[in-house]
Amino acid sequence: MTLLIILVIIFLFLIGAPLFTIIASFAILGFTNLEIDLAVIIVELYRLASQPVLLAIPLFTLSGYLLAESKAPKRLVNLTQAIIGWLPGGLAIVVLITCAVFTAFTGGSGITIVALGGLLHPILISEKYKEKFTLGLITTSGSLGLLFPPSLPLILYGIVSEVSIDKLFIAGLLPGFLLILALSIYSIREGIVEKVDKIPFSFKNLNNAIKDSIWEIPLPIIIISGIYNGWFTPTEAASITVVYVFIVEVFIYKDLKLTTDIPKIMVESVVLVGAIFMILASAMGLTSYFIDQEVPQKLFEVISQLITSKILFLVILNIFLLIVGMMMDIFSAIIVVVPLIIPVAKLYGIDPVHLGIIFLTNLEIGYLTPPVGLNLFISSFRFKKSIANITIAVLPFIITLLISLLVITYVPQLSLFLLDYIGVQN
Amino acid sequence: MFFLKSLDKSISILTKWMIVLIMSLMIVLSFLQILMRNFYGTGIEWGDTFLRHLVLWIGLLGAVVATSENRHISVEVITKFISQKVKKLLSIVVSIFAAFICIVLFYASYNFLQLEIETAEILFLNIPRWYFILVIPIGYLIIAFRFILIVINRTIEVVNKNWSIPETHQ
Repeated sequence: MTLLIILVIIFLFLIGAPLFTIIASFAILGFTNLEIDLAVIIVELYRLASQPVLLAIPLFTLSGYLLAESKAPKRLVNLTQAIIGWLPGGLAIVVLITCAVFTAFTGGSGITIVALGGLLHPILISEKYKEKFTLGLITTSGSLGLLFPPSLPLILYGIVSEVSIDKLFIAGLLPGFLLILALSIYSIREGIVEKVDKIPFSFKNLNNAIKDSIWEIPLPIIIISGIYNGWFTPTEAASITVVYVFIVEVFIYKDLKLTTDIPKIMVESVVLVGAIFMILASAMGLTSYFIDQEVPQKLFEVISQLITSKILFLVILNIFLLIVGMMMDIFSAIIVVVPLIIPVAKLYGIDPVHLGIIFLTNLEIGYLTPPVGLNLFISSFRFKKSIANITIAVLPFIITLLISLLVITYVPQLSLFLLDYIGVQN
Repeated sequence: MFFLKSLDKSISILTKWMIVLIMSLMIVLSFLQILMRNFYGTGIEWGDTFLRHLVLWIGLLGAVVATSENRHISVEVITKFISQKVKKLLSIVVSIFAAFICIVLFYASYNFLQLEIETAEILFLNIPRWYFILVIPIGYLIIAFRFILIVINRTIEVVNKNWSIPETHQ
């Protein structure tokens, strides 16, 4: 009987039932079989209200939406272009950096491609970058930057894994730069091989670009230095960011109107928060069932008989996560998979902070993995190209990212070095 | 049906205003806390507890809006490759299931609420904790109601042979 119900639930999962109902149904099934009052699921949900970091989610999400709806993306493109546009393949690097910064703030749910892609695609084409390269670049950049603070997936990983978020914010920096560096090298090569025009450097342009975005430039600096120096917690950073962005975009740049735009953007951002919250709430119940049933231990017993070395475990983990990242959005993937994998990975001696970085890098690439990675569909929809076209375009980028992934996975120091260097303790 | 639709509309307007109100309150209060802590060395004692419970509200209110706008997160591996007709029929099956689960979750949270009312634990300033917990059963109930509305609407459309599906935005 139970098996039949599980099969039905899996069927409903595949035909697109809201993920939170799927997760909740497993929790309901489990606790009903144990004859435990279902109120226990809600007790777990309510435990969320004891987590101080939870507040960072709605505040950072709102900041991201405010920035996305303002003219900040355009100013950011101008600024980066003025700084590095003169390099061979410079414009492509501009795309990488702007998208990464933008995704770090918006949390990477496809908004980047929609908001920035439309802006960047015509510029790249007019500068004589090939269509195929352009599509691959923009599709790839759509999820770049998830490793940089204050990205929502990093915060979520911290909440689910109970690893401190300041640590994750620091650990993500070098691996995040590695991804951008690898893709930049590929872009420079493209720029040289295809003899793309370089934009001459001009102090006047740079000066104007800096003047235009003078109020936005301090923002990343405030957040990053504030958190790294321990002046404020990630949650406080979220509060400061949203107030800062609000004042700058509404009162200084006047990009957003207080009475019309702001309420709309608030509701819009809260819809995403609500969707994540529901999954988180259901997963709290299911995880407590799993832990009660010692599922992670059982999982480890099975896995440890099949996989004896740490290296092999990491290889399998990478493949597994690429598939998960391809099929699920990043938020649900973190919420559902992390609680099961963390105890197992710990037994293999993998640091939970390093695991987080491996996780997010995999999920980032999962967005691009054919045949069903989300970015492929968003790009195909946005630029009216077939999925096959987009897939061919992203292949060289995926290969570049996979090489970086190997480095990130097998060189834990890349993620952990800065932590030791700065000396962040719990 | 008309009654259900106007009820849905009123809920929708009310939810959106509550979201704007609570979100603004969260921004102002959390920022005040930082200012006071830095300049006076102490914030409002119950401020952080209050803020964390507001997140609970924001989460459920957001989920209520997500339901009517069909924006809950789901896996779309198969639905990307099937015809509109099948998609619509499947969406009815899926919504019936979702409504059922939300009713069970409503029942579970109602039980939890009753336990909380009995223990009558005070959160802060003489406000009992269950005032804040109230949003959980109400939230699940409204979400269940909205899934039922989707079932009714889609069924009517299928009967009328209208196979178009409103686009969901990611």
